[in-house]
Amino acid sequence: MIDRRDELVRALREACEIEHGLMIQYLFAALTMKRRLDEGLTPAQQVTSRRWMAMVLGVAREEMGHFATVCNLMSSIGAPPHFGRPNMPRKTGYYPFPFDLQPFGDNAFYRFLVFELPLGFPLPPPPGADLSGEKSIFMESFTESAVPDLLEYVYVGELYRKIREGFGAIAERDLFIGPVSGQTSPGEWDRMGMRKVTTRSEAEAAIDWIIEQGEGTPSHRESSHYDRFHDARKEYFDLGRYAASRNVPVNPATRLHRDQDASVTLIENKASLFAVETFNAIYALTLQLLEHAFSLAPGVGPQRPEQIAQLRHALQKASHQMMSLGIRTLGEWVSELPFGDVADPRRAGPTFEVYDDLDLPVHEDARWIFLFEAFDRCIAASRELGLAAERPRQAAVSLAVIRRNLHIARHGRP
Amino acid sequence: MLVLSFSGWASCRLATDPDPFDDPRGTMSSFQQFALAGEPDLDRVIRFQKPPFVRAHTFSVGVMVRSAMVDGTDNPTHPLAGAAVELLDNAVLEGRNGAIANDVAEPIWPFHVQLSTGGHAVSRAAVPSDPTFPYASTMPTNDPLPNGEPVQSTGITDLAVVWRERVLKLEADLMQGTELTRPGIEERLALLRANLARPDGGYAAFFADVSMQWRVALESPVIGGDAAVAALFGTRPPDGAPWRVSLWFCRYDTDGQMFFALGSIAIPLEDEKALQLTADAERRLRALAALRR
Repeated sequence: MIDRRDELVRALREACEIEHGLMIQYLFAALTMKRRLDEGLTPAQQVTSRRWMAMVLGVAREEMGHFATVCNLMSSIGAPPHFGRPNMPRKTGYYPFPFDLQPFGDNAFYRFLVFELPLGFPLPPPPGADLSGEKSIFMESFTESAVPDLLEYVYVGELYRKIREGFGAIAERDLFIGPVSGQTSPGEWDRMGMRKVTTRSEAEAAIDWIIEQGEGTPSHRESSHYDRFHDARKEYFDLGRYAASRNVPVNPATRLHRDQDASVTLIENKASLFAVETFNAIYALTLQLLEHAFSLAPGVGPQRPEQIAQLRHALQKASHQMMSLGIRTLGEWVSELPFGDVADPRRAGPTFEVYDDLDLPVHEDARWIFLFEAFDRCIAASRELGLAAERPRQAAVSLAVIRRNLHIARHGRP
Repeated sequence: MLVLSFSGWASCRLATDPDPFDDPRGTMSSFQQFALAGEPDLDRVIRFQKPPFVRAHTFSVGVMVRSAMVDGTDNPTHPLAGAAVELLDNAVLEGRNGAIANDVAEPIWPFHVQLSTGGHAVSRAAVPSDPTFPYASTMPTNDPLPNGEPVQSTGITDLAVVWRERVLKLEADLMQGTELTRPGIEERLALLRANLARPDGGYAAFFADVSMQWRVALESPVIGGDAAVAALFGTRPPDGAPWRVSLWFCRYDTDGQMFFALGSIAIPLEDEKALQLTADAERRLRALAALRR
């Protein structure tokens, strides 16, 4: 039962990590898909694969909208946004289901369906042709989970229902203590969808929206995440489960991290390792831009509200552009790089690793210096990669433009 | 002053938001811009002449000088009348997902215009004042199209009519198609039919809304050599002042992946008398040199 602010904050932090983690798992599956005929696709498969990729990326974008909405829910009750998360894989003891980086295929579909499982639905058939009702790995994980009783849940929708109860259990006049201006608005989240929250009914509506987009409703499941994955999985079987993904291993990584709790496959090729590390640096910088944007509340503090609003807008715009111009561009590119030596048929992939705490300095001036230094590192590494390949060369140009725009927003000059 | 008016269809196969600007195939494009099954990758390059790939049953690509006016008088015999206009150096619409500019408000970069005919070519390029951010020099303006354009030049008042004819031709292609070609044709037909079925006209109606204009001064040295300048300008070569280009992209055919390009290039010419004097001076110099030999 959630009936105190600290319990609600804890549950929302978990929701942030889950939305973030889901988004990354969806992105990994999409960005490592084959796209060209010379990768072994037939023209018909090329058509289908693009549709599947668009579907998975579309769901990932919606998860980004959920993530932003959860950050607004946290802000509404006075809590800071939460962009940290443990590195993958996380098999047990953290969430009630394993978080893995799985290439596009039946294992990925199975996980995605369980994440988005509607209330009361049976588990989907497990991966593989044998649909004879094996015990679910998810249920095993749950029974071994160290998740506190306070947050017992098995599926994502269940967690949100508990959060919804929490918003209902705490007196409204005591609960909403965060400045409204601290929340991001739908207009700032172009096409990703998200909600602003100032009252209990708005909080409940926002949570219902997240649940419904994931699960659908009993009378209206079409276009829910669950439904989209369900239909795509069926089509995947009907089309003979062809190799739609590049040959990337499950859970590739550049190094071992303390917060991984299962084995990873370490990238062996030195050049690919540098490329994937650069990708991860760009991903971390994107999170820090978001973190900074969400921490700014026009009208709170000594700075002029319009100046803060302008900076926040610039940071949000920059973070969205980093998603397209950095994460997607380099994410796809690294999934074509060799994993090991020339004889190794495996490819690397975007590992979405976080090497250090993402927290930014408390002081505003220092924050910007941290961000610009991170930009400079990412630009330099991308330029180096760009000496040999077009997409990182383009990424370096794009990052330099984004940095320039932010510098103008902050200092009034390039 | 020589004013060259040009027009014609230009190819531009580009990914659009929310896809990264350099997405080679297009995935979720807001303007339905994809490399369909079997088609080569998208590359954003604006091509006024001979693109390496165009979809079947689309417009013929070719931006040509339609008239040459010298000092306000039409000069149909000017060497550049009928010349081909081209943007060189793989010019692209350089928006980068809003980092530089939003869709349909993008600069063209690089901006290097070539005029060619009869085996001769000359070109000039925009020279940015800030080389670290060259795009500022070629941002679009919002000037209205010339009266009656582009209907006058294209003859098209309703793209849906054109698309319906394309659908019939593609349906015939489909009958003759192979396992390799049919998926791409089917995909294209599906997009065309879905747009034509929309009450708002879909992207067939969008065709009428797109209009971008650039006004750019070309200030680089003239590239091409004396022989080309002499062949293309005759007795009055350019005087070295900037060439001023006014270029519209209007009407984007999302199925054809083509813009209609329209515009003019104003080229200040050397004064004819001054030119004769210069020519006289050159003649005298050559004569002097011959005497010395």
